[in-house]
Amino acid sequence: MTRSALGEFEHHVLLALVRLGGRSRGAAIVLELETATARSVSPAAVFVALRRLEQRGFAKSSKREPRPGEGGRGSREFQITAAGKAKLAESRRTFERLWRGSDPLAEPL
Amino acid sequence: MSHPPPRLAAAFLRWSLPESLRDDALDDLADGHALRLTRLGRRAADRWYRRQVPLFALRLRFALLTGGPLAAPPIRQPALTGSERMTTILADVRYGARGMVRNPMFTLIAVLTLALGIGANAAIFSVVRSVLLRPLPFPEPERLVQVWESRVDRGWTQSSFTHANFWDVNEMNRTFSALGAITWGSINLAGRDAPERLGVAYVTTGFFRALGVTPVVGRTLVEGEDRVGADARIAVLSHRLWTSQFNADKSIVGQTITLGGLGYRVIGVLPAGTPWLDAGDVFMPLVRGPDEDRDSFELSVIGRLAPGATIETATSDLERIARQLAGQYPGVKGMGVTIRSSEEWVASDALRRALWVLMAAVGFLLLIACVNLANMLLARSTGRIRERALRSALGATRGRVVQTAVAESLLLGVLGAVVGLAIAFGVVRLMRAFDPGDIPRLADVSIDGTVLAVTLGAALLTSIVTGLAPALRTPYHDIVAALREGERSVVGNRHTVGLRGALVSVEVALSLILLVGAGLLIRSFGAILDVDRGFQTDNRVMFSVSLPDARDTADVRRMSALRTDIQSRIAALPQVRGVAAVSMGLLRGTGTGMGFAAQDKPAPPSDAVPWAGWRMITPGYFRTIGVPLVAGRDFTNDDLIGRPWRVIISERVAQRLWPSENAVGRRIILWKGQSENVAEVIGVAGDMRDWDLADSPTLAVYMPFNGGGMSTANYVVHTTSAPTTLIPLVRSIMREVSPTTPVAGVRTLDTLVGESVASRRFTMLLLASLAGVAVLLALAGVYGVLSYSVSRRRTEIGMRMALGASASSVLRLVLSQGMRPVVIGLVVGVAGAFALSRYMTSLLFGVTPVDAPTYAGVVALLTIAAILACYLPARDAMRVDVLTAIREE
Repeated sequence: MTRSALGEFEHHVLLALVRLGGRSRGAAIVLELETATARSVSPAAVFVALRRLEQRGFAKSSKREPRPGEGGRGSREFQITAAGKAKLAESRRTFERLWRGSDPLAEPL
Repeated sequence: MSHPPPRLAAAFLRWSLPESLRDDALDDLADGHALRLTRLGRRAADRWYRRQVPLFALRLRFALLTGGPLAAPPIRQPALTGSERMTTILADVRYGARGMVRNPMFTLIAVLTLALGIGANAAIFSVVRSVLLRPLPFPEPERLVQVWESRVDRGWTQSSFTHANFWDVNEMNRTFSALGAITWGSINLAGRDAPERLGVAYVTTGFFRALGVTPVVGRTLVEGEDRVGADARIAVLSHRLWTSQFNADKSIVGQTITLGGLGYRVIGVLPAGTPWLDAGDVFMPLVRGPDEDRDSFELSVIGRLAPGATIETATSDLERIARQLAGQYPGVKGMGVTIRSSEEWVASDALRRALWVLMAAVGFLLLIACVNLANMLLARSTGRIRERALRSALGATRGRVVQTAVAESLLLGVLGAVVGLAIAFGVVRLMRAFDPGDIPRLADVSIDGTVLAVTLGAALLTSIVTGLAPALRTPYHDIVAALREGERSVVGNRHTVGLRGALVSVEVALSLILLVGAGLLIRSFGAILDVDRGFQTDNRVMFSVSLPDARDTADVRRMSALRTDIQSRIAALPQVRGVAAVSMGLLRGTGTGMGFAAQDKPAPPSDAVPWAGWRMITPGYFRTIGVPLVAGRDFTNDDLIGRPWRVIISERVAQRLWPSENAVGRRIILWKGQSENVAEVIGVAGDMRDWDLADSPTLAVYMPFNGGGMSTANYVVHTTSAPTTLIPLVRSIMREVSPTTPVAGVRTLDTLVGESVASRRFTMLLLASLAGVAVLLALAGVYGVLSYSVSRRRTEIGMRMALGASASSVLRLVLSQGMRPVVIGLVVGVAGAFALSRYMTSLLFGVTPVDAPTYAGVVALLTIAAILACYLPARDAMRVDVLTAIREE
């Protein structure tokens, strides 16, 4: 478990956390991703990705206590960490370096 | 409008997921279901839910298989309330206590280790506090100073004042609110049972004003009582004399007591205290004579700076007066002043140095104790890693796990402090019992609130630090690995073994530094006892007899006759081989002195005049004390002092004035620069260290006792056997000859020598015992780490032996592992000792701080001891049974 690069899906999940800002529940992230990518997203995939990100220190979660009158258990909410933001910035710079200079897509292969 | 997700699907999901993920997964899907419910309606939402459930189950199973557990981090506990926190702390303390009871050996060693470090610190700190830190018993002590004359022309930087110069400075200064002078004498008190010899402090009226003393009863001296013609027959009693001779009776004030045959009116009683207040048994006015001289330097001068004055302004003020006096009187040429702060009043430089060295030593000892304890806790914590990992996995926060660990070590710390204080009480009592006599305020040393607070603080800090280190080393990041592999995974943990090795190095280095310090003091002590004293001590006893002061020549003649009588009566006793008297006691470190020069040689410049101690002796002194008369003759009873001037000089004086010439018959100028009496040298005697064993042999000039007005004689008696039976006989002789004269200061010469080195012995014994304890702790550390690692490596060693390794190669392996941190510690320790031992230079005698034999001896001692400490674990390693070891694997 010492991968350092973000997978594409993990990348998406982290960006969704940034876009949502603050703490977000799994379902909200699924919705955000579906809206942004215009594709259906598996809640299970998001579930796993969030926990892997958390294990790697890029996200953190907390159990929110149920609101008064709401009853039941609280639900888990996720938030991006400073390390996660740094990771996103790093991968963005990598992409930008790769894109810089010539536009590889301008010439047909 | 709320509607629950499909029940059957939810039940399936609940059944199919591991418990740790179940709730979160159900939550996520329920959320998604609720969202779709509002937007797409119930049927679409339910359909979505049913489709996601098997996907979720499969996906999570796959993730668990390929990527390891998805366990959420421990649930964060809500902040505990105060009482809940207290409950957890109590629980931790109970837990710690149970652990301690379960492992009594560990507890015993840990508590003792801490207690030794803490106890030694509390004891030495209480002495340092009492001797060095407690303020003087006078108001505004920072304004108190001591004033000395300096004489550039004679090369003196710090000298007592002459009477006339003191009175002038006393009147002309502008920077002191009071100046006072003190000089000493002695007088006989009839006493309750037997006559007693009292020390008299003669002081000017400014003396008590400068100190700011409030008498217990009555008054001290008032303005004018030191003037010419004032009534000098008044006395202020010291607290000691008041309680010992007068039953602390307040009505003594106003009464007349008989001292030296004359009546003195008691005007007051001083409070108890050090310094100055115990400088004499009785204080009398130092009355200004009509015509004081500027040649004899006799007065110690203290002063209280005026408000706003500093040592610098006071110095320039007095220097101004000195220049004025030097212009006025030719004898005062070169006069200056030196002003020192009152900090030195209680403890001399050497004593302060010794105490700070001891304080550093106990600091080192506490450090060693801490290191040792940390080492023990570390060893145990690696054994308990599984327990901590399990607690973490069960949801204990890191804070709770650390709290438990710290509670345990705090418990050890408190126990250590309690036992340590008991040790400190014992050590303080022991120190008082071995009082070398010249450590001021030692009798007042006690474990008071401050010492208690400092000790407890040190103990708590120690235990928190030592408890925290191992607790923080518990691997929280990889609880599962810790659980799975348990203790085995940390056996070979290079970090832990490396850390423990480093701790052993620190212990060895610190104890080496302490050992070097102790070794240097021990060698100094040996050197000072081995030094050629010049005089013999065996079967010799000394005591002093003070006859009433002589007032005229008839008295002087009577006194000489009395002394001759005493001497011949003692000489007539059957066990006496020789008896003689001398004016100056042995090994006092103080005495009478004068400048001298040869009459037949060019006069040296005034600041290069050599200085010699002068003593008056009765015939037979050299024979009695075992010093050879190298040339010429001894005095006879017919030789009288100054009629004519005839002296015997010590060999070094002869060497100095007439190198490789015969000194007998030459003429020597005595009191050079003062009265300049010319004397004939009639004999040369062997050199003696009769001033201080640590000094070079004294330059001495001997004159006949007879004919002089010196009232105190110190008798030396050489007996045929141990001189214990002699003293009662001497007392009965004295009762016959002079019933009012006390026999004082009875000591064998061996005792005198012992007393003169008592404070050295005291420091040496203390430092040596501290070093001994330090070495024991360090060896325990070496042993502990090595035996632990050997026990953990049994399998490996068994394997090696099974594969043909010989016992000797296993021994080499274990020894080299055990000795590596020791060798590193030795190297570091030698460097540290080199750097630190120079701070001890002033405490040493006959050895340098980098004395090679001491270092070699200490290194050899520690090496051998460490090899022994390694031997037991090494022997265990060689006895490893190959089959058993492999089967364990």
